[in-house]
Amino acid sequence: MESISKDLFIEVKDLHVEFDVRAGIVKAVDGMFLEIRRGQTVGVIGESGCGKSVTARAIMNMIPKPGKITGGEILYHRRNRETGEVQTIDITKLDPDGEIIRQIRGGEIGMIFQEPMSSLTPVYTAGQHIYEAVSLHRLIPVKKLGDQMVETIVAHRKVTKEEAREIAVEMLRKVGIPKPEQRVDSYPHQLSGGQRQRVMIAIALSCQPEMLIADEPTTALDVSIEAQILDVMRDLQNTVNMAIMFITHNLGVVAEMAEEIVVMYMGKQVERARVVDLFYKPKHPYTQALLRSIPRIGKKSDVRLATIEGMVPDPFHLPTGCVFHPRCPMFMPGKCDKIEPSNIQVDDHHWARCLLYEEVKV
Amino acid sequence: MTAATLPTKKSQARQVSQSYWSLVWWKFKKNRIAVIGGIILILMYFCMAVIPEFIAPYALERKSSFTEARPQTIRFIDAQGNFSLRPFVYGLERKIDEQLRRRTYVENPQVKYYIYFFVKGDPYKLLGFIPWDRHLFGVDPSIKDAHIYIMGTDSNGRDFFSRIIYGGRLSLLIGLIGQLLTIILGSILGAISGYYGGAIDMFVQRFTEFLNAFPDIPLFMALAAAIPKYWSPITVYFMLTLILAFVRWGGLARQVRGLILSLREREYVLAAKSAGASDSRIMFRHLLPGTMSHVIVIATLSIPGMILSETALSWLGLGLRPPLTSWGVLLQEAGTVYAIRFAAWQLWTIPFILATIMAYNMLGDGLRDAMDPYSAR
Amino acid sequence: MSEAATVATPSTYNPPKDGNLLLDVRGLKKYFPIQKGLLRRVVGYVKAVDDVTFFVREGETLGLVGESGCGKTTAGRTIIRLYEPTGGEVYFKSRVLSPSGEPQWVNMAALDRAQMKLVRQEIAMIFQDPINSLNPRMSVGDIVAEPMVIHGKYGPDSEQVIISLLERVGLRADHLRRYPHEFSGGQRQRIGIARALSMNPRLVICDEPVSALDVSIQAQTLNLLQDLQKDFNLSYIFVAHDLSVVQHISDRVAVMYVGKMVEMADAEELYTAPLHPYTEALMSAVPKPDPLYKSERIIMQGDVADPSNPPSGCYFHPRCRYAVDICKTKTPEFRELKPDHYVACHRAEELKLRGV
Repeated sequence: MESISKDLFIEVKDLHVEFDVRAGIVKAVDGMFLEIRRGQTVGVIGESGCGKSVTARAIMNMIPKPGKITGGEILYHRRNRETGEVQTIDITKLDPDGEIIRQIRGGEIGMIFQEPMSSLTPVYTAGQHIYEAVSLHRLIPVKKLGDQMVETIVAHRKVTKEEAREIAVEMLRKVGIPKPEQRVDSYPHQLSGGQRQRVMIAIALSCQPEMLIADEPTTALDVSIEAQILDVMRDLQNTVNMAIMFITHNLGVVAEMAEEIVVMYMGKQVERARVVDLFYKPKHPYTQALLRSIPRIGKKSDVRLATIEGMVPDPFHLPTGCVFHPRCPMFMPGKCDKIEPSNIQVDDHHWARCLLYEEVKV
Repeated sequence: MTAATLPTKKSQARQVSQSYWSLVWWKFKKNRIAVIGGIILILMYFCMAVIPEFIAPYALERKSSFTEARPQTIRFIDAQGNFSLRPFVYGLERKIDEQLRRRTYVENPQVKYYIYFFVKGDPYKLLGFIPWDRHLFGVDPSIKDAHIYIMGTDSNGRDFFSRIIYGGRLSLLIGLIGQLLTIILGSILGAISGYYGGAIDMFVQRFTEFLNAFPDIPLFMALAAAIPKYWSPITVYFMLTLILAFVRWGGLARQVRGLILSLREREYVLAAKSAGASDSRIMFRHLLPGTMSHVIVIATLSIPGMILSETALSWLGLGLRPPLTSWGVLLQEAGTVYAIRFAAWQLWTIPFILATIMAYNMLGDGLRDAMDPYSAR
Repeated sequence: MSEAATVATPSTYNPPKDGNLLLDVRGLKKYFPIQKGLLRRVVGYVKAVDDVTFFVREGETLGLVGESGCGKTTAGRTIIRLYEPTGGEVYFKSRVLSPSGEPQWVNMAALDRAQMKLVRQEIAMIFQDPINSLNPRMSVGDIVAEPMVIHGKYGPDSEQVIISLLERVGLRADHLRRYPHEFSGGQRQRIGIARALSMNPRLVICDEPVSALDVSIQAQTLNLLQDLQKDFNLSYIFVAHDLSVVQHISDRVAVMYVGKMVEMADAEELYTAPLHPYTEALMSAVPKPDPLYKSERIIMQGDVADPSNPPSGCYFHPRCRYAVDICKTKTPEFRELKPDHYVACHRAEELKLRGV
């Protein structure tokens, strides 16, 4: 038990995020559970509007107005970089503009977004972006000689400009940008889409974060560039042992990258399992339908694709009971439309939110 | 997808089927300041541009022996402390100010003129063809020498309030008509320039730059000076409107061109083209309607500039000239130290101009928000 | 302008004997000039589509794939002259331009405006962006009716026709008076499909029709397109970047790279036995939705070449792991190496490439 909790990095427990808009209240995240261990890659998949990006922003305590966290907790098991002590912080309780969350953002948890062009400041060079991140968060250990004993004391100071440039070049080399000594002085518009995304990754990684939140990092890229980026991310993860929260709607990407997968639907976690279990033994009807509905390369068939009938429900008129029941092929009348399923363990390390696996009395 | 766009997109799905303009109206109505601005403008245009003869108690050129008389105060309680539900004014009495050695007027509490509504007065033609002689308010015409000057009189003894009302007609309409011409000129040339590009675009753009490069006032002066003196006042008025529109269409044309350039690459325009739509159909059915909301906002916000230009030109003596009466002409007459020192009520024009400009800005800001009904809030 | 009066351009075109072709594109070029300075001097060209040859058979789906900037969208738009072609011929078996009503070959690239307008009844387009492709100021009924209005075919019965079209694509009659913003992405795409079908076209150019849609909606839309193809005997040019979607829907697939056609073959054959190294690398790069799949990915180094300044010889040679000297100097010819399997690679005969 002790070792497990030591390994835990982020725990999202029963998170609720609501947006109060003109037409009513949208429950963008409605009872989300998530656990990320150190060095682990967790894939979060779901269709647009399912709340996967909002969850990521909640972890950074960056919910845009008019949204707010209305319930649950996000426990961050913060390890002191010097002493190794672990201290648990509830991110939802932090002041969103406070000192602590600003240290965490970018410094301890990095984030990359889908659109690399709009995420980079057009008047900063690639290098300047990295210097900025580095000068905010990265500290260099310095050795001092004590008076009494010959003792080294580790202290920290901010990096100098020359060091920052060195770090920037080094980071660009790590993410596979050719001629990094020249590219460090390029502006975003002088870089191709793939290179911009690499620069984003370099910025996020330059402060040596312990976790990276990647929100659809390859969706805007071509497959050949996507393959390069995924390769870079995997290599880096192996060398620095960083946790990754990988948000995507692409089942192929998530199958390659993630060890564990969380499936979201209408703000709820509907299934969570190890990647192989999820792809080979999906339990929730939504996951099953999702997996059936994608065309698979190399498996040409004349049969029609299986579809999920209907549309994502209107967030102001959520269905009663299980939110998926109007589209569910396994719909059990009198049960699914009445009772809200809970998140139950269906197998070893496998959770699903479905009444098929729950003993309930009607 | 960002988190912020999600809930608003979904929220629209719930509204009952509405066209773009009904959505705009629905959103505009919720903005109280803009609605107030709109109501003020409608009232002003109705009172001053449509029925000024009825609103004003006197005809425009009705002179009296009271020259530069101070405004009379509307009262309910007389000097003895008696309350009267019907408001009244004291009659004016001429006096000589010994110190300044000039004629002044004082209110005489002995003479009371009660104010009546729909009184008979100077005859006029309502809307230009209905003969009538009633005025919104006034004093009993059967009493000899009864008079009411709530904003005083000018040096010819004309009622200043009536002059402001009549002057408003020209000033308000020059803004509206001038802006209308600007819209027509600007959006057609802007649309052609943006849609066809190439040499036409080049020519239109250089020409607008040429116009914009000139400082406004000297350009106005040159053009206004070219208007022959013997032209009838009404021709001068229309020429001035044309000049104002001509100098100002360039900015609007540029904005329309920019919008057309961005709309031109929208897929729905390509869809219409691929279905075989003609250039004019694409222009009038797909491109210009998309720019109309912006054009209306820009136009609303620039009408005050138009009105001020007229005022400024007339004040400089280059625009409208007496006998035409506009706010600019009134200000020009009041623009002497003597007038400000001894007949300060002639500055009553300024609050009217300010109110118009503020009302336009309130309306324009509200329209700008309402024209984008797909956005949040 | 009556249809009977319009005479089709006489063409010297000889259709190949083998198939019942509907569209035959030969050497299509579209260069966009790069202008600089106040006088807009032309300083170069972006060769968006450069000597592209392919054909579409009646009733089939041709998938057109490639990475962004490869010219696949431009090619689709140049065929129906949304962009004026710089060169090449586009032969189409047209009915409306034929006085007898029997399909007759015309070169669309050479038609005049009036003739082209008539041919547009037979070719429709479906666009990518479900938000931008519908005019927000027009109701659904007006949007679907627009092609009929343009061609003067809107009559008293047309509303009924539109309603049945809407129902056919999975919408309801009461959607007629609604506006695009009230619909979800998938529904908007259905409106776009209804508009494309309103003139009973024979060829539909689908430009990334599902790439902006969610996974579950994507499957519904693909199924709908397939059903409609059967019902109305449509031919599709399916432009997309998602190779799994293209494989699913296409009978034949053509691959483009930097404005050039590199390979075209039967879908099954192209995916299992590609002949061009680019096709091979592209397919290996697609992430497979199978965690147990052993990925032997070929990582293409560098970025897609710049179409305004392409490399010498074969445009793919700087990223190709099989490149030899000839690839740097000589542009490979697009040739039929096996029956119905075309490729543009110097080493196509000798290479043993791997499919998926």
